[in-house]
Amino acid sequence: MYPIAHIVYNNISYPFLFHPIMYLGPFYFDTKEIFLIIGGFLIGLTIALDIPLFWFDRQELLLLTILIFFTKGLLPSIHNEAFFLVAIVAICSSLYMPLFQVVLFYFVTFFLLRLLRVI
Amino acid sequence: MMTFFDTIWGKRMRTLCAIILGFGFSYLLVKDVFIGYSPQIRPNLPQYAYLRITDTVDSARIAFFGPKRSDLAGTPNRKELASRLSQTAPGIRGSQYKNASYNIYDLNDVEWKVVGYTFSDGSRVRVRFPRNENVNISVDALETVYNAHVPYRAHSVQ
Repeated sequence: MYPIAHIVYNNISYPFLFHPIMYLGPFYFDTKEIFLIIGGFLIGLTIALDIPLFWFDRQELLLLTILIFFTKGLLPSIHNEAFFLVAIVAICSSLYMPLFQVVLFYFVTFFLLRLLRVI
Repeated sequence: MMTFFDTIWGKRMRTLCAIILGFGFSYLLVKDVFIGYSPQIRPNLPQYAYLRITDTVDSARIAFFGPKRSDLAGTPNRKELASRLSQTAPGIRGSQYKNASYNIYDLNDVEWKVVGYTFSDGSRVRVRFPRNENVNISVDALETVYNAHVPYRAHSVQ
């Protein structure tokens, strides 16, 4: 499941010993998507086993993880930096704002990123 | 021609601007468009939005172009008027000097009279006035004032 991948640049090979990629039918999951899936499963596990997470609401975190996962799939990889900045800000702001406002903020910010020609 | 906003730092600055504006817009949406942090949209949204915009514009106009404190020079101040207070009716003390008047209402002592009005849609309201006051208000004006304040009342309940 985790093949050793090599990147060739200027005829010099740089071995990547751990570069997880996953093919699921026609879908290709990169490292970031795999970590999002693992994170979602872990949060689901804490809900199922009733393990409390300090300060965070587990259901809000799970919903945000799912949202981030689906929006990651819609964006090309060149916009990773802006995308993950917004995702981290959304997760942190779930500590201070109601979830509905966080979700609104998430979608409004994506719209504004498009408007400002960042993505 | 490549400007600062086309560089990597310019892109980061645009991202930061989008995040800050996102916070602002989401706060406005939650406060004015939606009800109670739920997806339910305010039922009187067009009228409410119109009133909010006009009130904001009026407040800004008064703040920037309204009468300044120096414009009120020469009119009697509150201390002078308060020294001339006399009881005009139970619970009401007032004074008047030149172009200024000053009234103090002790709501528990005022003797009220209740007047009922019927609006154009059939709804009835009861308004109380001081007993000795000469009430001369039209139903249309009262209905306009009442309807104009209903959205704010609904907003304050949340």
